[in-house]
This record gives sequence, structure tokens and C-alpha cells, in this order.
Amino acid sequence: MPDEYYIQCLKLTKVFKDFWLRDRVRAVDAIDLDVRRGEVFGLLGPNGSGKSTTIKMVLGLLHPTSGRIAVFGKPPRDVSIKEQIGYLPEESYLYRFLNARETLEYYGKLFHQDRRKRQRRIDMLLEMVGLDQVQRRPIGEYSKGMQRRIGLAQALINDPKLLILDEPTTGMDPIGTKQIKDLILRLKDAGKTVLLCSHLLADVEDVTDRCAIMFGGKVRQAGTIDELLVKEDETMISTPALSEEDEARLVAAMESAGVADVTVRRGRQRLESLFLDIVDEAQRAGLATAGAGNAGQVAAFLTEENEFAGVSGIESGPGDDADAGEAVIESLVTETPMPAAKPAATTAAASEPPSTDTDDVIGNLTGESKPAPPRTTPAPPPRAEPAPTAPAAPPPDDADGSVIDDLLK
Amino acid sequence: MTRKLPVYLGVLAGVLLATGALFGWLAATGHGSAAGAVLLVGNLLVTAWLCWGLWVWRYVPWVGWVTRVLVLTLFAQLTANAAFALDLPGFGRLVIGAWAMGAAFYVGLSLLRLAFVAGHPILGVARTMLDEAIRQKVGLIFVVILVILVPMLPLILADSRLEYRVSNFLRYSLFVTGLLLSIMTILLCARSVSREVESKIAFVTLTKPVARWQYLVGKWVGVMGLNAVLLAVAGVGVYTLTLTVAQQPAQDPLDAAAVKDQVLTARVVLKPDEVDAGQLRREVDAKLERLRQLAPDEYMAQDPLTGERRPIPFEDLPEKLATPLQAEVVSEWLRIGARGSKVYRFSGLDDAESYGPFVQLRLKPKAIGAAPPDKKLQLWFRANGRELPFVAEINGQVREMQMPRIAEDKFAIVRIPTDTISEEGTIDLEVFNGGRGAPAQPDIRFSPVDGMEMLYTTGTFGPNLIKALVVIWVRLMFLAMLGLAAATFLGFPTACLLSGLVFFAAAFSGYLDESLGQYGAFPDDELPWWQQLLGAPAAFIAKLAEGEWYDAFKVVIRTIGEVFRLFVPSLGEYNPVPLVAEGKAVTLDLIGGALLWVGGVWTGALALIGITLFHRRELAQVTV
Repeated sequence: MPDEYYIQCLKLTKVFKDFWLRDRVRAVDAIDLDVRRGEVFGLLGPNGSGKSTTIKMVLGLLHPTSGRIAVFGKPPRDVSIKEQIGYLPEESYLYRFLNARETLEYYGKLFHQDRRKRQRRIDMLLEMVGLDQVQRRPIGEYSKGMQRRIGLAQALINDPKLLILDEPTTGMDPIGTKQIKDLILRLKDAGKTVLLCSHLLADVEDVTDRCAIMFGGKVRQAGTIDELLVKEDETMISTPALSEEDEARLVAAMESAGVADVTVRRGRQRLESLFLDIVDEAQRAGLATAGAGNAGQVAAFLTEENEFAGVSGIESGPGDDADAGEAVIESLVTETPMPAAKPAATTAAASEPPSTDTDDVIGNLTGESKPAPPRTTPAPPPRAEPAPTAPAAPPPDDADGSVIDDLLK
Repeated sequence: MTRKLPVYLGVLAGVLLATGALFGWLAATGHGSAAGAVLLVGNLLVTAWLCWGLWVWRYVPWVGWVTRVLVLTLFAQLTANAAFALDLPGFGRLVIGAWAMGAAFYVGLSLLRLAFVAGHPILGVARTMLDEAIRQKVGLIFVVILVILVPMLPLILADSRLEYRVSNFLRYSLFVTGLLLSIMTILLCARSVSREVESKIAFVTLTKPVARWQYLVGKWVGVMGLNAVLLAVAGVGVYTLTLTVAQQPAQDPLDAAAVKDQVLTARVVLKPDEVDAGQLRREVDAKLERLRQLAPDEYMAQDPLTGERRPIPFEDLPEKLATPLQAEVVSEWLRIGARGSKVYRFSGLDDAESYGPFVQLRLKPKAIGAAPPDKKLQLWFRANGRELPFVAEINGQVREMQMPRIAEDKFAIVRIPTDTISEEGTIDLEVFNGGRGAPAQPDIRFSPVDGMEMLYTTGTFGPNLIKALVVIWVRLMFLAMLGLAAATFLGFPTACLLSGLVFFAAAFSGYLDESLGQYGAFPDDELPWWQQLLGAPAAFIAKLAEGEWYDAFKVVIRTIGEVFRLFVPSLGEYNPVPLVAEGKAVTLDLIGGALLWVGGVWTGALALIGITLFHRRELAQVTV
């Protein structure tokens, strides 16, 4: 198996049988799947589509009925590969009588970590997931979201190369969800590989490089997010806020250029952004809250070079990819005169306040002034694109380029 | 904490030194009352300073630990003092016993947690198992029962003789301890694994670098660690309370001596050498000859051609006739007629002299027929030809007196000087049943199990108790693995049922064997087990051919029982409780045998089964 594959499934099938050994459910049906080093891979599908069964086979908790499966090039039940894996199950399967620190102590011991190393990592992880203030309370007293946070911390205690997250944002508030998504991106930047299993499509869309969509035990479609989501028959133009008059002029200009069905909509921000802004404002004002505190920085050991340089086993190559990603971000930021749009800004909208002279822009567009280069959407996401990912929404080959040309004349 | 602690300790040392110096100076210069006042004030200051320190740093783990131990100790001391002042010594002793057990538990648990601190999967699982047992209350409930029940036993026991009170306290307290810990061990182990699989907690643990055998061994280590602490707790309680009970007033000086010589001691036990094969055979043949005359149909074979009867030799007798005949002959050997006598040989007394001037003859004569009105029998003894006086230690003085009458069907002790032992290390003991002008009395007999034994002291009570606790701990090793192995493929209720069944069959294996031996026709007991089982179908068919349907059914039941028994160890053979209660030594042979068979072979076999089943199991498999 090539080194770049952390997980590879070939014709993987799982059939659950009844007491009399008759086939009862074909949960996974001859799927081919691979997860490459350094990528965030999304496994999507409705309930009962076979996602969790696939993950459980990857983890060695279920045995395949037929087909082959390899994790780090070895059978999933090989104990040695577990050194490199972090697993967050779909619910918090933790000891209710242990507190957060004891829980992490327990899982740290399973990785042969000495006391000093355990304590250091536990302190950082508790701060990272915002549970350092409630670390002595039994987990049975935690809310569901807090239990997810400690579940995430235990999945990271070994600084894993491969992180398997099964519905990681279940039960989390929008702040926690955002933090998880940010964490996934940071871990990816640090060279980790993430297998993300979810039915919350927006979450997957925000963070994954590639994904597979399952239904009825089969993979129905797989590829990069952009390959899967691009709408071949639609182009969007994003501008700063326009007055009604300018909108009318723009539509008229485009219609006069022969474009039919031109629609102009006011820019909308996502509900998640609004919510986070409100919470951020309240926290700045010093309002108190119960439960989990603010999550801190990503635990240093997860991103420190020397931490995973010392881990034996599979070669740690993805750092190069991460560096390449950083470089891409840098180039995007320096070359783009406007702030990066939200990843899901697929409507003809921009949330930034108007900072340029819109009249000039319209004037340029309508030929009354010199032209300014427009931006096409979808806008580039605010993160590095991995090598296998296609460039952000290139115009389709059969797009009508003459319209743009006309506008820019 | 680190900055302030030296200052704090400095002040403490300063007050202590100043008080000591001032007290010494005042006392030396004859100012007694002033010295007393200084001592009182100094003590108060030190106590207040200590309390303040403990309060300020109560969140520091070791300070909290010390505070709890101190508070527990002070509370127990005050309560016990109050009880003694109010003339309630029983309650006072109960408080002391409970305190000793509580302190042992607390210290033991802390040490165990320290032992499990290293970063290893087995220790990690063991530590969590320990926490589960304590925090999920399963283990705690048993601890509380133990700490309450054992100290209460002395209040319940009401034998008139102190010897029996001490002995029975030991018997019941160790029995209760063993039974409670056995049930707790099975429940904890079965519950932990089955619950973790059902609630999917095991999913997270077993997706870490933990082999499944490490998971099971970790659970086992955790439970056995807890069992070690709890046995230490029980040991401290039993030891303290036994000595407390033994200090109660005895009925008479002989009673007090019996407590010391027959209960709180460790004695080697020897039984009389079995009668030699030749003599046994002669007696069997003589008896068989009489039976042939009484019941020729059963004991004589008839030639089908000539119709002539010929005797069946003992070897060819059916088992149902041969076994009782042999037992009767052995029983006869332990029977002495009125005004008659018999000689019994005891061997293996070579080193008895090195342990003291006397060996003990322990016997329990049972009257056959009507016992004398006072239920006492007059016996005389001769050891290697020398007549034995009755020797007793009364108020520290060894006295010789005429052999007293012995209570019928009760244990009695006769001391035999070790200088009577022959060079070969034997004593030929001649027992006379009455005579010499004593009132008429019936025939007597001794039970082959414990009716007549020779004992000599080789150790003391304390070490003997520790050895007994070790044997109980080894038995728990098997039960812990039994619960774990059952839970690797069964849910909690069924795992408990299976484990409980095996436990009771193992604990009462002797009774089970006896019952099975008398149930249904089955191939000869002396055959190897596999030949017996192979012969079972033939026995079944033979019964069917005879039209004995019910007997055929009994053969099936017996076969099931015999197969089940194959998978159950004989825990009954490794029961140290009666030994300790009767002041008999728990020998290294017994400990070694328990370690080898129960802790090694049986526990190992169960571990192998459990690990294999667990390794092959699909944990996330849902079976409907």
C-alpha cells in the first residue's frame, strides 16, 4: 500500500446476521474508500447509511464480512496502529464516575505516557477544550456539550496522526461547533489526517477536502468538495453593497449584454457568524456564564514539530503539505484586495461594509469610468487548499465568457 | 504553599521546643503546677496551630489525606474512651475494631492507588477498575457491611466457654469475609466488563493501544488489588477483635488455657496411620464370610450349569456392596468395645520435640448406644507403653492429675510428653475404654474425619491468620477471572448466574461429589473420568433395556452433573477457615497447592478461555 494512504478499503462489506445466521442487514456493501495522508475526509450520509459501521470496521470493533481494509497498511485489529489514532465516538462513552482530569489520566496511561508527559498534555488539553475550571467535577454531571469536549480531548491525548471524528459537533453549541471546525483546520495545518463522519452537511462542507456520500451501504458519490458542489449552469458576481439605482443599472447593463434571468439579492451573513458575533460582544462586556469556559489555544503538543517528530512508526510527511497550504493562504491574502469571504458565500453577496466608491464601480461596469476587476464566486475559502483539491470554482469550459468581456470593455 | 510551609513548620517547632524547655525548667525547679499549666497551654497552642494549618491547606491532596486520618482517629478515640468510661466495654471494643478496619482500608487504598500510578495500560485499567468499585458503591457497600458486621460478631456470639466464643468468632468472621468478598468479586468483574461493552465505554478503551488481554488482566489486577486491601482490612479487624474477645473472662482456668493452646495457635495435625492393607483385608474377608452366610443370593454366585453356589471374591463384588463393606471395616477399626482397648500408630512426629515439651491428642469419642447419665466417658491412654497422666497448665503452672472423665461427643485434649516419641518419630497410642473400677459405659467410636488427631504447635496465631487470608485471596483470584471470563460473552445477569453456579459448586465440591456419587447408576468411580463418561451411554442403554426409564433419566442427569463438575475446581479442599478457628496450622503445602491449582491452573485456564472469547468478539456487533 502506498504511504500516502492512511486508510484503504477495497470492496468492504458488512452484513449483520440474525440468531440463525441468516443475513439480516447489509450495512456496508462493497465500498471502495481511501483516506490520504494530510487531508480532511468527510463521510456523509443519512442515518443508517453505513457511516458508523464503516468507521467501526476501520477501528477493529467490527469485522468485515468480505473485502479488505488496511489502516496504516496493517489490519485494523493490530494494536500497534492504535498508537497513531485518535477516536471520538458519536456519543460520549466515558466513565461517569471519573472527573475530566482522571479521564484524561486514564487514557494517557493507555498510551504508556509517563506522569510528567501526561500532566503536561492534560493541562493543555483541558485549557484547549475550556474545561480547566471544571476539571474536578465528575463527567456524569457534565452537559452533553461538555462531554463532547472531554471526548475530543481524550481523542487528542496521544497527538494522533489520524483523527477519526464521528459526529463531533453533536450536542455542541455554535461556539463549540465553530471551535471544533477551527481545530480540525488547525490540525490539518499541523499535518494531521482527519476522517470526519457527519450528517451535518454545513460542518463537513466547511472543513473537508474530499468527501464521500453514502446511502444504503454504498458510496453514491465521492470527490473534492468543489467537484461535488460546483453548479455548472450558474455564475455569481459579488460586489460591495449597491444602492437600488445601481442594482437596476447593473441588471440593465447585463441584460443589454444578453444575459437572461439576472437576479440581484442583498448580501446575508450566516446565522453562525451572527451568533458568534453576539456571543463575542457579550463576552467582551464581561457577562458571566455557567458551564464550559472559553476554549483556549490549540494544545501546543498537537502542533509542535518536536512532539510528533519523536513519534515512531509511520513517517510524518504532511508537514510539507501544511507549509504549502500556508504559502497558498499568504499568496491569496496578498493578492486579493478584499477580505476573504465566508466559505459558504455562494450567493451574490458580500458582508463587508461598503468601503469603496460604489458609484465609480458601477460607472466602470457600465462603461462610464475605467473598469475594475470583478470577483467571481464561490470565493476562495479562508484556508489552504490541499494539493488534490481543484482550484476554487474555475469557470466552466462552456461558460459564456463574452458577457464578462463585454462588461469589462 | 511551598513558600509558607517552612515558616509554618518553623513556628510549630518553635512552640513545641519552647513549651518543652519551659516545662522542663519549671518542673526541674519545683514549680509543678506552673509546669502543668505551661504544658496545657503549649498543647492547646500546638493543636490550634495544627488545625489552622490543616484548614488552610485542606485542598492540598496529602494534607486532606492526613486530616481525614486524624479526624477519624480522634473521633474513634473519643468514642471508645466514652464507652469505657460508661462501662460499655463491648461497644468500646467494637469502635476500636471498626477504627482499625477503617484506617487499614484508607491507608491500603492510598497505597494501591500509588502502585497504579505508572503509565501502563494494565495499570491504567486496574486503577479505573478500583475507582469504579469504590465510587459506584458496589465495592463500598461490601466494605461497609464488612466493617460493621465483623466487629458486631463478638456481641452476637454467646457461648458459655470462652474457647468456643473465640473459636466461633474466628470461624464466622472469616467465613463472612470470604463469602462477602467472593460475591463482591464476581459481581464487580461480571458487571464491569459486560456494562462497559453494553454502554460502549469499551469502544473507546479498545481503540487505544490496549490489547484485549491487557484489558482483562487490568480488570483482574484492579479487583485483586482491592481484594488484597479488603482482606488486610478484615485481617486487622479479625486480629484486633479476636484478641479483644480472648481477653474476656474465661469460665475456668482450663478454659483460659484452651484458648491459648487450642485456638490462638497454629498446630500441625496428624491422623492415625491407616490400618495396614493385610490386616484390613483379613477383616474384610472375615466380614464377607459372615455376609455370605446371611445373604447368599447377594454375596454368592450360582453356576448356571451345575446350579452350584460359589463365593464371590471381594474384588468382584458390585460396588454398591463393596464400598459399604470397606467403610464398615474402617469404622470398626475406630471402634473400641466396653472395657476394651485398641492401639493406633501416629507417624511423622520427628520434629515435634523441637516445638515444645508436649504434643496434643485431640479426640471426640462417641458412645454407641446409651451414653452414661452425665454424658461423660472414662478413658485411659498409654503412649509407647507409658501411661499418660492428665497434664494441664493452670495459672501458669503445669500440673499432672488423674485422667478426668471426658464429655461424650465433644472434643477433648490430652497432652502427651514429646519424650515418649520413638526414634522413628512415632507414637503407638493405646486407648482404653473404661475399666479400672470406672462405672460401666458403652462401646465408643471415633469419626474417621476428625475423631482422633495428634497435634503439635508449630507457630502462632498471627502468622497463621495471615496465611489463611492468603489462601482466601488465592480463591478470589479464581473467582475474579471467572466473573471476567463469563462477562466476555454474556450479559451481566447471565454472567452472574453462571459465575454464582460455578462458585457454589466449587465451594461445596465435596458435598456435590458425595451427592453425585449416590445418584443414578454410573461407571465405576475408580475409573478415569473420561472412561466414566464414555461408559455413560452404555449405562443409559442398559437401564433402558431393563425398562427402568427413571433410572435411565438419572444416568443422563448424573452425566450432566459429572461433566459440569469437570469444569469446577475443588475450592472446598482449600478452605483455611476451620483450620484457623481450631488452631490448626495453615501449612505451606496448602498455600502452595492453592497457588498451583486454584491460582495457577484453574485461573490460567479461565483466563485463556476469557481472552480467546474476548479477542474473537466483535464488540460493536448488535445481536437481536
